Amino acid sequence: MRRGESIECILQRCLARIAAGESIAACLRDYPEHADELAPLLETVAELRGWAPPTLSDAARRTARARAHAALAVRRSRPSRRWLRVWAGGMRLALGATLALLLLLGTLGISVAAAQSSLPGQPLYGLKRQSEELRLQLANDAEQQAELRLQFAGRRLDEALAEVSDCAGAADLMSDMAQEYDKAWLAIAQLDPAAQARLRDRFKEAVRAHRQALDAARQRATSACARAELDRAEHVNDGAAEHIATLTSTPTFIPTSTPMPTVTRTPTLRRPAVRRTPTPAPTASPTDTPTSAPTEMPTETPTAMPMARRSDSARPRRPPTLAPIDMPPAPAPTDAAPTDDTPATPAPSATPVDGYPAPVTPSATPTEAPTETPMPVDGYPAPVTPIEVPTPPETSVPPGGEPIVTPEPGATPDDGLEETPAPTDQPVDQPTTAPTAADGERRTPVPTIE
Amino acid sequence: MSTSGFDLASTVVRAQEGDQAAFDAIYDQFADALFRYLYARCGNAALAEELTGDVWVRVVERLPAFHFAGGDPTAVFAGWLYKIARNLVIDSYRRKRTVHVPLTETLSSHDISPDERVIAGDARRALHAAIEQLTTDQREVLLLRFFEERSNAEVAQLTGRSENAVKVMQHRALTALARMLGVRRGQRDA
Repeated sequence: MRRGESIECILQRCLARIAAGESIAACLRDYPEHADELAPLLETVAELRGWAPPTLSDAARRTARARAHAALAVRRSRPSRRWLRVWAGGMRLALGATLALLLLLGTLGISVAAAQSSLPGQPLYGLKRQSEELRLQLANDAEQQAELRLQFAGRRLDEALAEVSDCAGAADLMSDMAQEYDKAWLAIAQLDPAAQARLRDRFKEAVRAHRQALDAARQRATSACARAELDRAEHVNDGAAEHIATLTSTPTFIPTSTPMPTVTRTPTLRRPAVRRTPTPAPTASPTDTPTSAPTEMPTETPTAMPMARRSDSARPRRPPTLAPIDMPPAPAPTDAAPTDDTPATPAPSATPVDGYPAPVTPSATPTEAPTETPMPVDGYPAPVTPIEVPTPPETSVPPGGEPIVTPEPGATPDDGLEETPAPTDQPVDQPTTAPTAADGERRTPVPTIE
Repeated sequence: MSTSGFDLASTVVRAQEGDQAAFDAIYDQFADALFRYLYARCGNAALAEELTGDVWVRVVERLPAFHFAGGDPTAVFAGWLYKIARNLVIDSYRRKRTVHVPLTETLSSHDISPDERVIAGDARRALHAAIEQLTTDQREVLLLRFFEERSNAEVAQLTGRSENAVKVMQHRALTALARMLGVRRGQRDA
């Protein structure tokens, strides 16, 4: 006898015992506390078991069978429904395939969405880049492509900054970022003037935002390698910013990879952008600034100083990138090409890097070594720790021979940055402000086309 | 409901394809059980017989769509039949086709003495009247449990209830029946 059992379970147990042949009394003896309740129930069951169940009469049985046969005959006379089953099966298969396709597309969409935040080296990064290529192919016009390129440049920057924090090599990402800038600018160059103006502003905003991100990253950078990578990125950003400075009313694009002794004031698209291995340096080609021979001219006023660079005493300054027409040919790039990742030694002897004269003081070649090993990146001169950039004698040598502090090229003009102190005596070939330059933002006149 | 030697699954398949002989085999196997179930649901033998014909017509019409989902084929098919019967009884109530026929004529027809017949008749009538006083669900459980001699598990499967619910319903049905029959302690075997 189990205590705590419900009366229903006890009843069921007793019914089973009675069905097995035990008496009602025997069961009641095992449950004396429930006997008064159990007894009537068990006796009722006994009466029920003695009651013959109702049966179907023969007539009703025949009638029901006949009706069923008639219904069966009617069903057999209908057209075969096997085709319906086949069709239904096919529909189920098609529905299953559709659901599977939708699930696949949904999964792919989720994967693509998840890939957007992936970084180089992660499993979905390839999908991310492929999706970008697909978006470019699906772009309706050059304006849309330009927008996408700017977006992708930002992505490369974000990825590079993620790599920078780990001191992982981000050179490829910098190159890709530069390429995106280039292609964005190339797309803008293909637009009508109104669209150009619109996209130019977008380009400028993007470059500025990227610079802000770089500045923020530099604040957080704690290692020399991270700062070096940030320098690379800033070079690229500077180059992109110079696009804005050089934009005129006519769509133009200056291929950047090759040194150009003369540079037209209004850059024209002479040839497709040539990528300087490993990466293209779209605009501010160092070779476009034939400022002076490295050894014969201490410095030269950056005749084309599109944008001032934010003053940062801890940051190296670079010579201007745009060169006036009349400027002497830029020296050929040294072997320490931008593509060469080997550190460019900031030679105190003013070894030019990528066509840029090494910044030197009027009296001496720059002696102050950069705080860190500069590396040319994408055609841009390696960062050096310049303090001043002397003006070329025949151009803008101030009377006192005071060196002219050269703002770093590519700086956003309106960032409250230092401007290049104009020499008191501007050279004849001092570039004039380009009419279509960043309105009101240029601090240094741009050479005009003569 | 014995289905020994009777391959229900294959027979149903043949009946689905229109084989009348297969259908007759199924009919013979389940006709009485289906009738008792109809009686349990409607509490009226005449109505149960009339509904039996309607049920089997529906079985013929819906048999092609039936498939064994798993488990004991007999229990599955019987449950399917009972479900058709249950719905048909509901439909008949909605049509207000309630005809009460005294149960006495359909009760057991074994030979007994006139006195015994009178006494038995009184007892049966009392039992019949009490059964008719039960709810449909109580009557259904009692008939399936004690006339069909099905287990609680089978009743649960056929009626769509849990075993515990069947136990509770059984207890309530017997309590109500005992109260109506005036059964008290003292009538048990010594």
